Amino acid sequence: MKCRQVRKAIDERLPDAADRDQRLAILAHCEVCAECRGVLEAAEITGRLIRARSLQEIEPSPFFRTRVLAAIRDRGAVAVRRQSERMWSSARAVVASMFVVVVVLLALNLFAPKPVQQIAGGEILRRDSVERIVMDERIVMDDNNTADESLTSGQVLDTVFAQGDSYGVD
Amino acid sequence: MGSKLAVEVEHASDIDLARQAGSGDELAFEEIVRRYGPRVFRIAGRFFRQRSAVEEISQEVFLRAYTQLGTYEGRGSFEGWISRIATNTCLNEIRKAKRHPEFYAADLTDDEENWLETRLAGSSLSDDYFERGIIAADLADKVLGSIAPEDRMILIMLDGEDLPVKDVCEMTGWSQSKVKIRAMRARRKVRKTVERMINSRRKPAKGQLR
Repeated sequence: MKCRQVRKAIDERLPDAADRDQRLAILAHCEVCAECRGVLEAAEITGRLIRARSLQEIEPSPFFRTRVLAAIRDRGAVAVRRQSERMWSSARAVVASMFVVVVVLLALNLFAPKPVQQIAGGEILRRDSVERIVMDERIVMDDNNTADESLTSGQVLDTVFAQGDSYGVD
Repeated sequence: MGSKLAVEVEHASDIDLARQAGSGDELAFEEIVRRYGPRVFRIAGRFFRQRSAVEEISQEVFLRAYTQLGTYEGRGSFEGWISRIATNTCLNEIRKAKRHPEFYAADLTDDEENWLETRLAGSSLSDDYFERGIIAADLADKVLGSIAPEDRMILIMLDGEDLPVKDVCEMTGWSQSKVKIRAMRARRKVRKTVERMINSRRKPAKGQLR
C-alpha cells in the first residue's frame, strides 16, 4: 500500500472497519513508514478522545419535567397577552382609517367645486346655466310665437347663443 | 381517577400522546418529556458539556416540540421527530455563538498534558481511569472545538457512539455519501490537530527546534 492510500484509509476509519487483510496491510505499512505510523497514532488518540467525550452523559434532573411544564404555561400566558395586544392594535388601525375616511368625505363635501352636467352637443354647462336655458326656451317659443314641441335642446341653444349671450357656457 | 389517568397516559402510544398533548393535555406532554428527556439530553450533550447549558437547551427543545406538535403526523417515529428538533435547536444555538477557536498545544492543562504523555508512552493504565473522567473529555472538547458543529456531531455519533451512518442521515437529513465525506474530512482535520499537539510534545524531548 502507498502512503496516500494508507492515510485515506485511516481517515475513513478503515483500520477499525476493514477486513483483516486490509487492516494487516495498513499496519504492515505503518511498521516501516514513520510518517504513516504518526498519522495512525494521532488517529487512534483522536478516536479515544472522541469516545471519552461521548461517555460524558448528563441525565435529566428530577425537576426537569416540572420546569418544562412551568415554562410552557409561562409562554402560553405570554402568547395570549401578545395575541390580545395584536388584536387591539389591529382594531386601533381600523378605527383610525375609518376616521380618516370620514374626514376626507366631509372635506370633499365642503370644499369640492360644484357638480357639472353634460348636455347633448358635448358642451358642459353649470346647473344654473341649464335652468336659464330652459327659461330661454320658453322665451324663444314666445318670441317666435310658436309652440313647436319638436325643438331640441341643441336647437334652442343655437337660438339662444345666436342672440349673443354667453349664459355661463364654459 | 387521577392515578387511572396517569396509568393510561403511561401506556399510551407516542402518536396518541402527541395528539392529546397537542390539544392541551399537560399530563400527556409530561409523559412525552419523561420518555424522551434522556434522549434529548444525550443529543444536547453532544454539543454542550455544562449541565446548566444542557438543561436549558433541552427545555427549549421541548418548548419547540410543544408548539410544533401539530406538524407531527405520525409518519416517522416520534423519537426521530423530536431528535431532529433537538439537533436543529442545538446547531442553531452553536451557530449563534459562532465560535470555532483554533486549538493550540499551549492551551493544554497539566492534566491534559499528563493524559497525552501517558497515551504516547503506551501506559497500561485502564481506560476507565482517564476516559471516564473529565480530562480526556475536556481535551476532546478543545480539539473538536476547531471544527464545525455539524462535523463535531457526526464524529461523536459515528466514532464515539458507534452509531450507523443511517442514523446520522436520519438526524441531519443528509445523504449517506455526504455524511461519509464530511466525517472523513472532519477526522482528517481533528487528526492533524492532534498530530500537531503530539509533535509539539515530542519536539523538546528530541531537542528539535523549528
